[in-house]
Amino acid sequence: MMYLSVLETKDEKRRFQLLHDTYERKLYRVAYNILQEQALAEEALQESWRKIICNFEKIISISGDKTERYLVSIVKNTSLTILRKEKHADPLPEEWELPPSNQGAENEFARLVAVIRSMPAQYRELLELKFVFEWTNKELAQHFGMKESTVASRIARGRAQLIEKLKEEGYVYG
Amino acid sequence: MDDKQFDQMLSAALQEANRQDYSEFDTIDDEIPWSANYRRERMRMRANPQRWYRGKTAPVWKRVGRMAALFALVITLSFAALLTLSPEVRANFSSWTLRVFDTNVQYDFLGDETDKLPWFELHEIPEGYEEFIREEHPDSVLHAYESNDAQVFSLQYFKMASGSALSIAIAGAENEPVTVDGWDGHFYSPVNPDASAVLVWMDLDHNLQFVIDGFFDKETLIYYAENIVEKNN
Repeated sequence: MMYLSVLETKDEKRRFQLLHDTYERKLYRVAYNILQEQALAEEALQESWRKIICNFEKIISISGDKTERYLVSIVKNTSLTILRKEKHADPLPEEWELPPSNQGAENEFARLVAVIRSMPAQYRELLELKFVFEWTNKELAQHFGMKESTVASRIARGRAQLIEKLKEEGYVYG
Repeated sequence: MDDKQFDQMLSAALQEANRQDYSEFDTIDDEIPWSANYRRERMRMRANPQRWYRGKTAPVWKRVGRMAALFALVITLSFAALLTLSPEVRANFSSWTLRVFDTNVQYDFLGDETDKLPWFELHEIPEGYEEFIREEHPDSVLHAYESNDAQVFSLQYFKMASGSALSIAIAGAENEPVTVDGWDGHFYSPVNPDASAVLVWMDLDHNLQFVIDGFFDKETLIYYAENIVEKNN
């Protein structure tokens, strides 16, 4: 069993309680929005807090919107994992249609966020587990019930499409 | 921008997309009607996050499945034996049922709804502990006490009414039927030394289920349980 070396001092515990006070309700609402049942949402929230405690050193090194982004992503993917266990999840689509060109974004990051928000949910889940939570292709294959080679090709294709989209709209890459 | 930089930006963008998707919840500040079980776990987590984390990540060995089945068998036999000996136990048994799973036990209640919840307190608090939570809800009350070294001791009680249930996470805990002031109950002794013991009993006069949770042995928990007093609140 991994030994957790953080959250030992009073200051660290106080910081954790502050984090908990600040985000608990919102994170519950994210979980409930996905799972639509209080018991499952509370289960997702507890599991998420367990992951947050495990990653506490990382979380306290970031701040503001970046903290919220990360916490929301943890709860969202924990909830999706529970949902996947509770009922049959839709299969991962092979392709997805890129949104039409839009030069209105202030920078490439904002444009990338906008394109990601147009992706199918299952594709986003795949990329989040890979690039945010650094799952291996083997873990992803087990999670989605697919072959490792299929997972690897879907990730590579999704990533390549995003890069191509940014280039096509004039954002710098390479 | 190279591949590594793009992947870092992609990670941040994926997270930011999630934050924007759920930004509607930023303006909602309604109270959430947490379940009793969640409130209890939250209290323990906030009091000592590291201890709570260790308790949640303790390995659940395969033999737990067989132990859960054994618990169900033991409980059934215990009640069957008691039923032949005492008609009063049958009355006890008909107000609630116990279901045992791999990672939790669930008490399902069958009684009638009671009126206003009575007020109970510990007559004696463990030495070195101070109260830090006192919550009153329409169907439950929680008193929680914390020691100097951040160990938590709690007393909770819940209305028993048809359609309601109480689930207690006791992965790996050993179970023992007990009585508290003559009422049927169970003592759960954890295998994990970082987890607390739990004492549960059903008071059918008041139609309440009591739960005491703390880092003490069975006799000590029963001592505190039998010294709970009813007061005007």
